[in-house]
Amino acid sequence: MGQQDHDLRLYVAGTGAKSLRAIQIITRLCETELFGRYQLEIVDVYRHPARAVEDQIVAIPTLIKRAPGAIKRLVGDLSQEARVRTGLGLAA
Amino acid sequence: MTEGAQPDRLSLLLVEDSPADVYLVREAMRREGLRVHWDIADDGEWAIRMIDEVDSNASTPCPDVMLLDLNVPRCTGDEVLERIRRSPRLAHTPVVIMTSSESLDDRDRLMKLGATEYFRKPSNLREFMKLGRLVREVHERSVPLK
Amino acid sequence: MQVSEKNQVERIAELEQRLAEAEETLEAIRQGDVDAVVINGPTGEQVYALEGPDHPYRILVEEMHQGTVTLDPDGLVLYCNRQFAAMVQTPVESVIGSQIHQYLTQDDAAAFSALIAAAAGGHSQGELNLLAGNDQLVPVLLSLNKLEVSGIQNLCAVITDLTEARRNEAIVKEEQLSRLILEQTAEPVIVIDARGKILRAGEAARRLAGSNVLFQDFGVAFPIFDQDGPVTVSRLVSDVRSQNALRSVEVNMSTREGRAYALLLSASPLWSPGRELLGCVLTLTDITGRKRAEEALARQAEQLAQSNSDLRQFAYSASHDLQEPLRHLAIYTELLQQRYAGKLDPEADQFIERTIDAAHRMERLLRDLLAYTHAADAPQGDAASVDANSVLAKVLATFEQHIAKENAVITSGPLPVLCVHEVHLSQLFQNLISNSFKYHGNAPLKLHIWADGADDGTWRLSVEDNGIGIDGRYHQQVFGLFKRLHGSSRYTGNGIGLAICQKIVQRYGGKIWVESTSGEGSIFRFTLPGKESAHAKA
Repeated sequence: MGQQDHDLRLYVAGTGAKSLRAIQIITRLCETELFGRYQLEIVDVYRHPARAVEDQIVAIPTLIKRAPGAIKRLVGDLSQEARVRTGLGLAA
Repeated sequence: MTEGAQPDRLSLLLVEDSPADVYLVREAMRREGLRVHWDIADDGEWAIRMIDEVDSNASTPCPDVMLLDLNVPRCTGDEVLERIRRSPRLAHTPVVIMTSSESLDDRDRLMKLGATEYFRKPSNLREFMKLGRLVREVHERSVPLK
Repeated sequence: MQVSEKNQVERIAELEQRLAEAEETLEAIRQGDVDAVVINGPTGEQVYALEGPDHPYRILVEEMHQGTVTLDPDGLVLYCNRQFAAMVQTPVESVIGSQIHQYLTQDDAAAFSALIAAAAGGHSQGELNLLAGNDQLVPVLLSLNKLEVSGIQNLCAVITDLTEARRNEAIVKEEQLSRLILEQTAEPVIVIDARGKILRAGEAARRLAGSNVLFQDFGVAFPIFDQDGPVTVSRLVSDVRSQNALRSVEVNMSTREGRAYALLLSASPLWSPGRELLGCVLTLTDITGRKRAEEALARQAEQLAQSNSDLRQFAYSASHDLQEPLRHLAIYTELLQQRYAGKLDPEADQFIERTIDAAHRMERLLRDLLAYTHAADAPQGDAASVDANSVLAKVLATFEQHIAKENAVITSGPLPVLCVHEVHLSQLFQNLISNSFKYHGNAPLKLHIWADGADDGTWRLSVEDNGIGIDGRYHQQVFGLFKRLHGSSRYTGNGIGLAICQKIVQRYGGKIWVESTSGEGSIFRFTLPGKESAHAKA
C-alpha cells in the first residue's frame, strides 16, 4: 500500500439499516474515486464486539480514516455522500 | 458188507412226501419187475433218523439204493445227502436224486455232493416209468463194490 | 516559549477535533443516526441495538443452516452470514463489501441478473452455481426477496446448498434402481453386512422368511442348516471369505411356523477397496417343489420296483408250484387211460384224452408264463454294442433245417450295431422268424430283414414275410399275452412269442408294431437304440 493510499475501517452492526447504507456509499465512493488505492475493512461489531475498543467506538456505524493524514472519525448519517467525501478528504 | 434183509429183494429207502409220487415210484419198480423191500420216510428229519439207526446198530440192514426227493419237509435234500455220505455204512450206497426242478445248477451241485444219479420227475407216464430201469442199473453198477 | 506554544496550539487543535468528534457522536446518537452503541458492560463490550429487539432474529440469521446475503440492487454484498461465507470458502469480512459477482461464473452471472429482474415482482427463486474461493462450484438454490427498509431498496437472498441434495439425488436414483432390481427379481435376494445384519431384502426374500426381515439377524430370519448342522452367519462369512463365493449349496430351512424348505444358497462377498469384507449378497433359490417331485419320483420308482419284484415272485411261485399238481394230473390221467381205455363207455376215452391234453397245455402255458416273466431280464452288466448282423446269422443257423425243408429264402440288408443285450436281440429274431415259418402260406417262405435309422440314433428293424398276413383289426391284439388268432387245431403255440418281443423292445424304450393285410404277408417292425442313442440304457 502506497503512502497516499486510504486506509479505512468501517464499523457496522449486522444488518442495521444505516450500517448497510454506509457500506454501500463508502464502497462505491472508494471504487469510483480511489481506484484501488485504498484498503477498506468492514468490521461487524456484533461479530467482534471487542474490536470496538481499538478505535474507541461508541456509535455505529462509524468510519475511521487512518490514512492518509491525521486519523479522522466520521459518525452519524453516513448516507450523505457529500459528508463522506469531505470526511475522506475527497473533493466534494 | 451186509446184504439186504431178504436176499432176493431190493432194499430201497425212499425219501418222498407226496403220496402221488410214492405210488408212481412203486409202480415204476413194479413195471421194471423189481421186488422191493420198502423203507419210506416222508420228511428229511425222519430220513436222517433212519440213517442214524443204521449207523448205530450193526444189525439193522442197509438199504441197497436210496431214492431222495429234494423237496421234502424239514431238512433239505442236500442235508440228507450230506448225512448219507458221512455215514460209515452208507457212504457208497447209490443215491438217486428226484426233483421237479429244471435247474442245471442244482444238478451240478448235487453231483458234487455225492449223488449217483439225477432224475427229473417228468409229466408223462412213460418217462416216469423209466425210473425203474434207472434204479436197476444203478444197483447193478454198485454190486461189485459190495 | 515558542515550542510549548506550538505544542499547545497543536494540542488545542487536537482537543478541538476530539471535542468535535465527541459532539458529533452525541449529536448522531441524539439524532438517531446510529444503529447501535457500544458499551463496556460487565462481560466486556456489548452492543446495544437502537432499533427494536432483533436479537433472536440476528441469532437465527447468523446460525441458520442456509446462507444469506443482503445485497444492494447492483449486487454489492452489504451483509452476509457465516454460512454463506463458508459456502464460498471466503472469510466473512472479505465477503462484506465485495461484489456478489465475484462468486459467480459468467453463465451464472447471467442467471443471477435474470433472478434479480424476476425479483422485481417481490420474490424469485432459481438454481445456479456459486464459485467458491477454492475454485469449486457449489450448486445452490437462490431465493431472492426484495427488501425495503427505511425507504432503501435492497435484496435479501437465502442460499441453500444443494450439494448434499444433489448427491443424495444420485444416491437415491441408484438406490431406486437397485431397489427396483431387488424387488423385481423372482429369487429371494438378501444383502447382509459382515456381522449378518440384513441390510436389504427383496420381496421374494420377505415372502420366504414370512416377515419383514430388514435389519434382522440373518440367522434368525432364515434358519438354514445343511448336513453339518445349522449354517450360522459366522460359518457363512468364513466360507465366503475362504472360497470367495458360494455357488448353489443345498441347504434346508425350517421356519418357526413349521414350514420346511429345500433351498440352493449362493453367496458373493462385497469387498471394500481395502479388501475388508463389507458384507455378502445372498440368493436362496427355492427348490422345495423340485425336491419333492424328485422324492416322489424316487418313491414311485421304488414302489414300481417293489411291485415288479412282487409280480415276478408271484409269477414264479405260481408257475413253479402249479407245475407239481399238474404233473400228477397228467400222469394219473394217463394211468387211467392205460387201465380203462375201451373199458368204459365210448365217450369216456375221449374225455380222458381231452383231460390229458388240457393238462399238457396247461403245463406249457405255465412254462411260457415263466419265460415271459423273465423275458426282458438283464443279464449281468450293461447293454453292450452288438452287431445285429452276427446275431441274425446265429439265429438263422438254428433254423437251417426248417429253411432247407421249406425251401425258404431269407435275405437281409446291412444291419447296424445296437446297444442291447445280445440274448434279447437273439430272442426277438428267434420269435419273429419262428412266427414267419409257422404262419407262412402256400408259397415257399420268403423273408427279408433290413434296418433304417432315425436322427436320434435309434434304429428301426423290419422283418418282412410273404405269409398269411394279419387283418388290421387284430394288429394290436397279436401282441397280447396268450392271444392267438387261430385255433390250436390249425396252428400250435401259446401266443406268447410276440408278447415276449414287445416286453423286450419296451425295455429299451422302443416300440414294436405290424404292418400287414390279411393274405398279403406281414412286416413286423421294431425300434431299438443304436450305439450313440439317447435312449440307450443298461
